[in-house]
Amino acid sequence: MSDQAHAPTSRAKPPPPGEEEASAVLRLGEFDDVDTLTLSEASLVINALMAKRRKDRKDRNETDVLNKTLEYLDAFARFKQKENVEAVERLLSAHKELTKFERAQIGSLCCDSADECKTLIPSLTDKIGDEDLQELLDEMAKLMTA
Amino acid sequence: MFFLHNLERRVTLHPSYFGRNMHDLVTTKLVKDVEGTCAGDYYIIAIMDTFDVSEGLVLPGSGLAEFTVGYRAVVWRPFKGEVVDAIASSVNPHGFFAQAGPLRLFVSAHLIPDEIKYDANATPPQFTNNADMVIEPSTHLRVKIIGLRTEVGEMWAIGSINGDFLGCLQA
Repeated sequence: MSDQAHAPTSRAKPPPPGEEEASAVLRLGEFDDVDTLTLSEASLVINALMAKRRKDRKDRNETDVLNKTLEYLDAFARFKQKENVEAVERLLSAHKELTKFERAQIGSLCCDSADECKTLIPSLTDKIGDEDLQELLDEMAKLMTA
Repeated sequence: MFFLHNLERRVTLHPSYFGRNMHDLVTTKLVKDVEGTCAGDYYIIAIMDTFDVSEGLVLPGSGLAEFTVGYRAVVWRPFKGEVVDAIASSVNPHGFFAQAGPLRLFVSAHLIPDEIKYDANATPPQFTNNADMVIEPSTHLRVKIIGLRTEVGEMWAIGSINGDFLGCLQA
């Protein structure tokens, strides 16, 4: 008798907590294949959403969490212009050997050297060569406006 | 780390709202209920749009209509071992608190390099190595998340700046 023919009779066991980590091995749990956003992209997306809500004259629902996040993004988003953010996104997507998480971390932390990048994102160590990574970081540095 | 996540939620609507614009009302209720909350492991920052509103099912006994809404949201989830940028918010002899978006991090004095010591006599009290690194409220820092604790509706984290390339940001 197949047990898929009716709705589940009990709640599925939730994934065990505390196993997710992002150190040398990436274990992201339910976020494994979810689209990531660098700090600059998140800033663009949230600000565009707020502008749209303001235009439609809907309630912007400015929660505490939202305000804290917007302040944080203003302080740390490195790429302010939309074209630069899109250019960085294209640069990063070209590297299919890296996971979405790693690409977003590279775009958010904006390291100066490949060594720094590999120290802060340990899962990168074997996935990309130092020269390739340094080239990527140099290209990104050119797009960073003051 | 920010994610664009697809989530699902059951929203109920009182019969007095039945009529036109039901989908808009369901979306508004969803936004009011969910935006800005901490759903266990992650914070839901903003809801972008709803992509799937099911047919409303009237609940027996209460008359409320229940909709299962699929929506996309900007979500922030910290991971153990992730390096994040943060702003120091308060300093005390045992360490300092820092704010990374909606998350409050504590960096204990044990996880601060030995050269950087607490200086109670400075105004404001700060951690300093008496050379180029000063940690006081509103200093920008790079912190590695060592541990996370979640409780219903809130998250706390422990961080460390004891490592290469961590600590004060030069820029």
